[in-house]
Amino acid sequence: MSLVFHIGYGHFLVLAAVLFLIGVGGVLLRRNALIILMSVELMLNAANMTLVTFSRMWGNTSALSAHTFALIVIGVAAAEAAVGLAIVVAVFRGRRSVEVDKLTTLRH
Amino acid sequence: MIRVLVIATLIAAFAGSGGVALAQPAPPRPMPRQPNMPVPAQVQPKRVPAPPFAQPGPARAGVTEHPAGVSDPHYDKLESDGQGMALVFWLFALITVGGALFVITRRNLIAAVMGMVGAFVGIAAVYMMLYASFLAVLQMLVYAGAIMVLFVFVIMILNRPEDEPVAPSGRAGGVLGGIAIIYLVARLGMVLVHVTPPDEHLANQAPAQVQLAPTSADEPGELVAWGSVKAVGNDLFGPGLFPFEAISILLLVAVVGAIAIARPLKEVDAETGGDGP
Amino acid sequence: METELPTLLGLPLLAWIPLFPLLGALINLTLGSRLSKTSIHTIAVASVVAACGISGYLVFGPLWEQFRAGSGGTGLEANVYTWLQVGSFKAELAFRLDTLSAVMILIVTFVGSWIHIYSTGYMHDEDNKGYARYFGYLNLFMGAMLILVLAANLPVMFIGWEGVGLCSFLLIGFWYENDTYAYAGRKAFVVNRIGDFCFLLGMFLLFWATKTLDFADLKTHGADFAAPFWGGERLAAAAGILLFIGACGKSAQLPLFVWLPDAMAGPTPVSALIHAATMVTAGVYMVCRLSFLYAASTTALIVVATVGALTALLAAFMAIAQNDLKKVLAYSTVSQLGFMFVAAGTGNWVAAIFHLGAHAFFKACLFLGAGSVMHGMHHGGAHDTVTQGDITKMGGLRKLMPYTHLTFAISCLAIAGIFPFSGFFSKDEILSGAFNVAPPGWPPLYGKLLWGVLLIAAFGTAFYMWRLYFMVFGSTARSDYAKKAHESPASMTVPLFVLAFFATFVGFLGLPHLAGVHLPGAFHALASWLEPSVAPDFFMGQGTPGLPIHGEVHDVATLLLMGGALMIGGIGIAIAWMFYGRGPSPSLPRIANELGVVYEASKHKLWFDEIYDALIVRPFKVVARGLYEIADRFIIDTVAVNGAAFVVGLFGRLSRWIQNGQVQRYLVGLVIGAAAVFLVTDCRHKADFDYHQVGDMIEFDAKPGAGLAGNRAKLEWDFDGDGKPDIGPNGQPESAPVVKKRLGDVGATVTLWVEDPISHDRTRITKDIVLGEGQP
Repeated sequence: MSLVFHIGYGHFLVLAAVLFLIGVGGVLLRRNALIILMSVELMLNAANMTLVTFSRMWGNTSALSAHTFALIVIGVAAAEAAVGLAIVVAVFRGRRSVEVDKLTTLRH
Repeated sequence: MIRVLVIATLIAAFAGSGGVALAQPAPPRPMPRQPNMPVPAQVQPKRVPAPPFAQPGPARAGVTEHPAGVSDPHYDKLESDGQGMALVFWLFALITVGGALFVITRRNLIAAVMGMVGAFVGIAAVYMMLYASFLAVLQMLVYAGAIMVLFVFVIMILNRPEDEPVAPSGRAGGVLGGIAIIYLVARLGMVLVHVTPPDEHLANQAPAQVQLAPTSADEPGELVAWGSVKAVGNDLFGPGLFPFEAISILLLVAVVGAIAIARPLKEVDAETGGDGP
Repeated sequence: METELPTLLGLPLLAWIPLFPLLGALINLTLGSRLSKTSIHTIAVASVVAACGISGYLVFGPLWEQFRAGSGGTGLEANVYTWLQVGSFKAELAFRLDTLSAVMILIVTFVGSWIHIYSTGYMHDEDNKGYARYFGYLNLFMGAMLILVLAANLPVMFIGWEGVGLCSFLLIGFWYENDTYAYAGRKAFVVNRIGDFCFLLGMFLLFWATKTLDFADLKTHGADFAAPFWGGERLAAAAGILLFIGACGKSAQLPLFVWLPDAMAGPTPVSALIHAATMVTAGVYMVCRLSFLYAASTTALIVVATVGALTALLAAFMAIAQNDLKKVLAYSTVSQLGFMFVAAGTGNWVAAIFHLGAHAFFKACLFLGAGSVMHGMHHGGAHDTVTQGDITKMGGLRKLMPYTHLTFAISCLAIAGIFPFSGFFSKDEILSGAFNVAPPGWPPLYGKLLWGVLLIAAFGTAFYMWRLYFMVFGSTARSDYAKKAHESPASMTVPLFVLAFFATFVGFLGLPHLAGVHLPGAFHALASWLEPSVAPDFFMGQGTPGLPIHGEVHDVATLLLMGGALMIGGIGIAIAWMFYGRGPSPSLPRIANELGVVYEASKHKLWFDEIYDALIVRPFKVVARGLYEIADRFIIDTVAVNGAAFVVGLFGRLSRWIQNGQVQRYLVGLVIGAAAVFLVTDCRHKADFDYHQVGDMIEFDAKPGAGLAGNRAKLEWDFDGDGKPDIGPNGQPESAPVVKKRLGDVGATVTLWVEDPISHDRTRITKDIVLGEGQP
């Protein structure tokens, strides 16, 4: 029961791992480009959560760099979302579909 | 239903913004106190501050563990009722995981986005528990606010909310991938749940306050809470300045690129045609 | 004595002897079809004449000096470059010119030059491309033959050996459009291959036993050759017989002679050069070159001598009933080679080389004369080569082709052994050598038996050669072609005269060894010249020179033997004149009828081809057919080729599922791979430790497990058995992975704690320390 009532840093890390793997599952199992983009965002957030957890775990001030890093990750995620959504829109305009398995022009 | 959940979690998250110390089985130890300890050289108020960019390291800023005049780091108040904290953690963990599962299982894209927002709220609350208050707010503003709105807009542009959720990786691929993911969850969980901090004492305390770089020669640097806007900002515009500037350029490029990609091709033709002699 | 050899363009002059013809071959074979005929034969002839000039300079210059100084056996040596060096095996592309190879290169380059010149006339009707091909091959042959002769070790000799075999094949099948000729070339190649295989085996055996293949080094291994080997037989016998089988292939001896008569399919100058004067004598040369080896084993010698004598006799017999001009000469060559091998087999190396040289001149002259006759027949209207060479269609040519007739007659006298022509001296030396020889281990009077056999063969030689002469030149023409034949151009007759000149006078180089006569200078010329290079003695026991092979020779016996041989030759000529002198005698069919089987046997070459066909070729074809069905059709085609395709296809179908272009399916692989990495680390073995005794210490060796966790694990030891981690001498806990402890410091149990760097789980391993016999 101690695992339930005594929350340690491990719990946060496990939560991040679960979040990450849910994101992986989304990328693996869905065919809608938007869902895949969202799953990628989930994975990025899981990584951020790990960063913040370790930062807190080390507990000293220099660990604040992790916060900076997490901010930068958020920035990159925003950029990625913008470009990704733009691509989705462009693809949809051409093909009336956002399902990734139908984008096979470059396959052969 | 979702909205209610979101609001409830938001309220809960900010209610507990005092931060959470982690209940540990280890008994609290009193800090070794040495009140008359000499002030370490790097925070001598009279010291001429070095320029923040040129001279990182000890002279720039930072906090010693026990500088004179800094309020004591304290054991968390909630430590004694760790069970309450555990409840809060489990609540937000549930919201996060549930939201995430919602994202990858819903056929309705709007429902998926709403699940995503829920997950982000949970993540923000987790940040709060880890004393990362600035990040928590940013998570809500940037992710739940901006990026998710962008998603909703795109979904509305596409106007195709229905989706056939069968994965293109095939039935065997799905089963194998699912097994692998479940195994990875179990395996990572077993390892990670045992992770212990390198210094239990430091980790169980509420984090010490951060002393910023002194602004003038006369007075020492300001003391701010760990994880606060000022503390993170101090780091972000100090050693993190170059990545910060780089990310701003990246965002600019991404925005320009997004516009270039998403612009209808016909207009491009028309424009180039118009520009020609 | 080391003589500084002159060099040309950085290469020793010696290496240029084979290199000049090879360069000529290179030019003619690559650019020849674009050159004019004049350029082609100028290049070809010039390269051979240059080789001849260098040979002459080296032999009569530096080598003569060495010979005078008494080291003619060492000779001039030129190492062009070290070809390969593996362990103790060192093959150098090295040439050596000693007195033996000097004789050979002079014969080869001199006869070769004149045959090249003759070829310019003989091959004149070929088109440009064929002309270049012909001279290219001929030059290539000269290069290979000179490499063979000049080789300083067996591998280099084998290069030449194979090279001349290749050129022989190419030139026999020169007119490859004709199936029969192409088949003859193939036959020569295949039969030679059997011999070459044994040659290689002999070479390997020698190297295995002596670790060297250099002739000079081998010569110092006399004791090795005499050492017991394979149940008492000597190395010399085994290696010698194997190498001799190789020589049988190359020099057309008894089991493997069948290719030479067919080899007459090639152009006649080729027959003269390759299949009479030079290449076929390579076997004799090889035996003489390895004389020290053969001299060490009387078993090998008796094999050589017996095969030679049988070949001489049977070939002479087969030649009698042949009606093709060149076939008769071919059998004659086989027979004469048999003579040479008898000389070699009776340890009479000088006689072998002597007869080799004399034979080179008169047989080349005979072949060129035959070529001239066929050329004349061709111009007389006979267009197919069968008619050109059919002696029953000839006759009376002595008036129409006087020069050819004269030289042919001289050569016929020489080969029949009539005084004072060269064949008389050389053949007589072989005969008297065989008569007198008595090596230890031979059956008594075996030498006399050989002599008798050779005498009959010599009689046969005189008979069939003069039958040939009378059929071609005597009497009157028996066909229109022969009536219209005319003399050949000067480019063909001049070489005939040159060769005939040498066929006449070369015999004086080796006058018989008469005790009472001492002529200065020329006397014993060849014998004393060759003496440093060939082994006069043979080895018995532990490398000590034993009895000489030659028996006692008396002057009277020598003179009697000479007289006997001369008489036999005269009788042969007389009988030939009796039956063929005025055209073929009308009584001949009746005699042939009475002889019956014997005549048929001679006409059909003792049915050798038919026997080989039934015994070897047909069974071989059956086996080949079986191999084709089983090995090719089933194993290779079905199992290997189709099987490989099937397996590849199977994997293709498998990977098609993975490699379908869907990034998400690739990601599945990625995730499964990640899971597999964790699975592998989970399967790592448990933490453990070993211990073993080192002197009075015990060494403990911790094995905390694989991977990152194992490497970074924190270790704690408890050696004294109190259940708590020990503190080491430096005040820190004992945490080294390898610890040495004195025996007295170690308790009954030792415990190791391993702390996982991530989870901080502590694993405890406790072992009872038992030191004893079976301890790890």
